[in-house]
Amino acid sequence: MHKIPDVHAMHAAREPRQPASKPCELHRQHAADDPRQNNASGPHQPAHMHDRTILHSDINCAYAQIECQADPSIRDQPVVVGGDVELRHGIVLAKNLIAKKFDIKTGEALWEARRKCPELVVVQPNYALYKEVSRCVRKIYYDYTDKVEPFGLDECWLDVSGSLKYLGMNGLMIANEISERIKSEIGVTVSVGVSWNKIFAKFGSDYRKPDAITAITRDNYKQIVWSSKVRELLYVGRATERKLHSAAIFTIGELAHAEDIFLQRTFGKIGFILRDFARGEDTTEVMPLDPEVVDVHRERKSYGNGITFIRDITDDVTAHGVCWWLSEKVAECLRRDAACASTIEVGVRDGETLITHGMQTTVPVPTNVTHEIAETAWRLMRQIRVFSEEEPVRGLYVRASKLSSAEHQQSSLFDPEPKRPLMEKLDVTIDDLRRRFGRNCVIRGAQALVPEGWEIDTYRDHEVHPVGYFHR
Amino acid sequence: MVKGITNRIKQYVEVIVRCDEDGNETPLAVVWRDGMKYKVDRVLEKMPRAAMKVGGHGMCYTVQIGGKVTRIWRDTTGWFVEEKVNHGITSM
Repeated sequence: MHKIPDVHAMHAAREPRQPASKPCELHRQHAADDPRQNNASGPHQPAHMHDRTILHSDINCAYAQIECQADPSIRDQPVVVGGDVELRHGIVLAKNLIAKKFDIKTGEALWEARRKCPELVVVQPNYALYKEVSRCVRKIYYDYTDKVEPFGLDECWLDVSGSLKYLGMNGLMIANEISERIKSEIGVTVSVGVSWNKIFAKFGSDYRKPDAITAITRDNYKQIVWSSKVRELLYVGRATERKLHSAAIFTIGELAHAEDIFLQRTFGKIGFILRDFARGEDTTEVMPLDPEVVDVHRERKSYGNGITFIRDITDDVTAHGVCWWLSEKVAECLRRDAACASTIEVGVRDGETLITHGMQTTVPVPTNVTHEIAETAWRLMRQIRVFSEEEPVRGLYVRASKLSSAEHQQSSLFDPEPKRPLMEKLDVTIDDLRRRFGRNCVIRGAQALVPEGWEIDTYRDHEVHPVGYFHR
Repeated sequence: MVKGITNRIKQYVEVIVRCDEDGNETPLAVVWRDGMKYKVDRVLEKMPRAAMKVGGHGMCYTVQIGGKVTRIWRDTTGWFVEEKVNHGITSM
């Protein structure tokens, strides 16, 4: 059991008593005027000489703002970027500030948004454009540090600790310059948080929007961060907030003082991590990642693929076909990375309640054979429900986990799949054919009966952003 | 907005470019859609810049053409200008 530390005493011991400074919720003008007063970089605060200087930069209303920049004719109108209604992805993905005034929320259905604001402009997402803008913005970050960690397309952490001396700037000055450069070179605004750890930097960038810079320093974090609602801390979602509220923890400051026993009982290990976040004691490094080389440096725990189908799934033939389309992709990814999975998991999303029911099973021999994964997945789906007109299904997913290397597989005497070597060869041949002649040059029987599946670009459409903070 | 200019549109144009051994590009002339060639007298500035009037961003060349200062952009698609639409008459 952890000893209960007294946070106030701890910080008092660390910090020399300083005259009460003005709480600094900084606008860029102040930042540029006298950065020394509010610097988060450390050189003027001898007690924290070794503090890092971390920036978190966030493109405001990213997709919507990029669309408005690209098309000036919609700049003065309420704009949302919405999914394709015909493909039943008709939800608000992003909104601009004008649309926000109409109380349009990210994630709500487009028809709901239109009801709130009839003159709403709905733009189809253009991911190629967003990626291009994201790449250009990151290029600016690289002028200041090589430690740039993307968190989705629109957010990045930058550790500029090592660049301060040779640039002759402090954290706020860099934040200011980056913000100005992005505005003039790309034409979009960002909000930047500057602090000594990643969590408070992120908090800073969310604190004041749009086009603002907020420094969370050791002098002001108690006024700014600790007085804020607990929900505003990274990784405090709806469920965690509810649990914290039930224990009368409403602010981040109260979470920072939460007792070990409560945290242990209610949340387990993650409780202590959250409290460290609240205290500004997160020491996670900014991981230099280049998404053009590799999206994330992390160990993969599973391969999954899911889809909200273009129409309701009401019969076995369609469900079977979609199951095969999804499983095929999962198996292909496994083979590409020379991995095998022991656990197959499926989910079926109800068309009316929108609740997803899941089920999983363990296969006796780890596999990456398409046929085996697809048929196992199909068996599970049939156990979850009977596909019929009365109970339409909106979407399905297939996931393979408990991974092991395909190169060092122990062959089993009791393998239920005696033709395994042949099936593996068949898969390799099909993969090769598809690489040479296009994805749809070979289609399996079940897939051929679901022609809509041909339109699914299972590679392009299923990128997930951002990756989790802990998944590394 | 300059008087008389009702709008500006993004217009991709043909540009004659010199590319040196390091890959640096210098625009030499802009070829308008009617075939008219406008010689670039001088490149005054080259820096990344957003084209806020017409949308988009890229490497912006501030150039002098026929004594007038104007801007041309190089983005991933090609070269574009902010074309002035002046009561139906268009110009660079």
